[in-house]
Amino acid sequence: MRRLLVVDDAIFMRRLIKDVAREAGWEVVGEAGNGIEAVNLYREHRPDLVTMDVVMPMMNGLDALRHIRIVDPEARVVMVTALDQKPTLMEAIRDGAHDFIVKPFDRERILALLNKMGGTEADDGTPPQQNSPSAAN
Amino acid sequence: MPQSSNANLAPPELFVPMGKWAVAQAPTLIRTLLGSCVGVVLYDRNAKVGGVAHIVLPDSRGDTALPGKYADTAIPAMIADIDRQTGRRSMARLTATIAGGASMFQTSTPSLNIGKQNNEAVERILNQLGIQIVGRDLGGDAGRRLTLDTNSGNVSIRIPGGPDHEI
Amino acid sequence: MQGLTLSQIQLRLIASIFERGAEAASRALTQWLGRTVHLKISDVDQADITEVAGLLGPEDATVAVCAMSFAGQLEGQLLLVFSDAVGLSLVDLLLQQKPGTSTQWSELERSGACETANIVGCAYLNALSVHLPGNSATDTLIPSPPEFRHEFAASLLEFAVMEQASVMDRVLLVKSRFQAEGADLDWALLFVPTPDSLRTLAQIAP
Repeated sequence: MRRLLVVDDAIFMRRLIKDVAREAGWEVVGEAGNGIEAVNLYREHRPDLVTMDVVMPMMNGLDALRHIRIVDPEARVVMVTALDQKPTLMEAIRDGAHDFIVKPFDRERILALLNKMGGTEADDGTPPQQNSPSAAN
Repeated sequence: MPQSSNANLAPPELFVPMGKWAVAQAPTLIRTLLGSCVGVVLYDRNAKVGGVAHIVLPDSRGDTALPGKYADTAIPAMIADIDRQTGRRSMARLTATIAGGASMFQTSTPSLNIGKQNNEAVERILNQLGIQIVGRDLGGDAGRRLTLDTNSGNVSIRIPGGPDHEI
Repeated sequence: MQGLTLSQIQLRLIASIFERGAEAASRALTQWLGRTVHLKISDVDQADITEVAGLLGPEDATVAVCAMSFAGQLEGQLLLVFSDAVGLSLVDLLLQQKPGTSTQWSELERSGACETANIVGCAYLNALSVHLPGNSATDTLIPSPPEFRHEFAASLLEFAVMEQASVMDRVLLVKSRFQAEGADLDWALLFVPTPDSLRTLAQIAP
């Protein structure tokens, strides 16, 4: 079973993502409410995928992304954020984010992502693509 | 049971907006809602006349556009109004209560100290005028609803979701 | 202190930029809630500080607020304000529960309200960031995580305008109303810039 770490400061959003992930057959190995927790939980569980919010207390998602990629340069992190601003997107992708999903998203959008990520056993090394965040609106 | 139609009437209420003051005699209730600003209550127990000022900043630096906004202009102006209401010099009989100066937003650094500066300025001015401060309710991170009952001189404070308490 | 007084032309230009923010927030909120909701800019005007207390209705009404500060191209506060009843019915809608199911603000309800503020606020800021003069490749407008509070309407407004009030007698706040199916919802979104950011806004139309 594929293993997921859900990072978002809003318990409401974590619940939403966890429900979809379980539906898609993923095991949620941990959930974090800030970047520091996220890095610690990543170290502990080495999940196959991380959904990462950006705006969070203590440590934001971009910093957490960088820390996680230091811990594991192969880490697969998808940013899931309401912040849809080009510099943020570019920074995330430059720092190794796999994808960028803009909230609010359809369940199908997350489901499609999880199915895609669940289907490939390893990182294929191709550069990440922006999945037209504004199309979700 | 109501004795007469008058007994049933709620006392008149005056609301004091930011940067203003109001003075009234019994049985009026004077009310203001405070955040980072400081409310100064002055009360003349013999005359049952009191006032509430809603002060935004400590020092007017010569600005005369809005005297109620600053501690150094609002307090003397309010005393002058109380004198007019009582028809005599009230200062020696006045007592003061001060409340407010909370900070809600941790990020807005300049406003963090405004509350504290206001408190200090108000205390200094009241001290210089020889007006005794009989109650204080300052600081914290929640707004306050302040009510002066000019009939009793009681000052009550309510925070959101809480009951009124007297100070 | 007179501070900065904006001309009618400046206010209209600022309003037109904020309309973009409101449009983006409307789209995001509609998708988030699964029902059509419109944000409409109702006020872009400078008010005397002595008039601020009543801008959200009765001064001593206790309101629920999800408060965010923002930084970047502009700095200030963004506040999503609603009554308890309205906020809890919003949570019921989000949780696909029967109206009236949520009766108090436990962690999940607060989180649902704050996530709504985050989505509305970010959509608003995303659009402002694009439409404000500057370099959209490098400039950002980033909010803080929302914080849930109960506050008196007038105290909240005072906290929000305090920085502007410390340097001027008239303050600018941009208020958006919410409408669904033609009827006003009892919510408001307030955008309150710092004095420096007000100057930045003024320079849009010198």
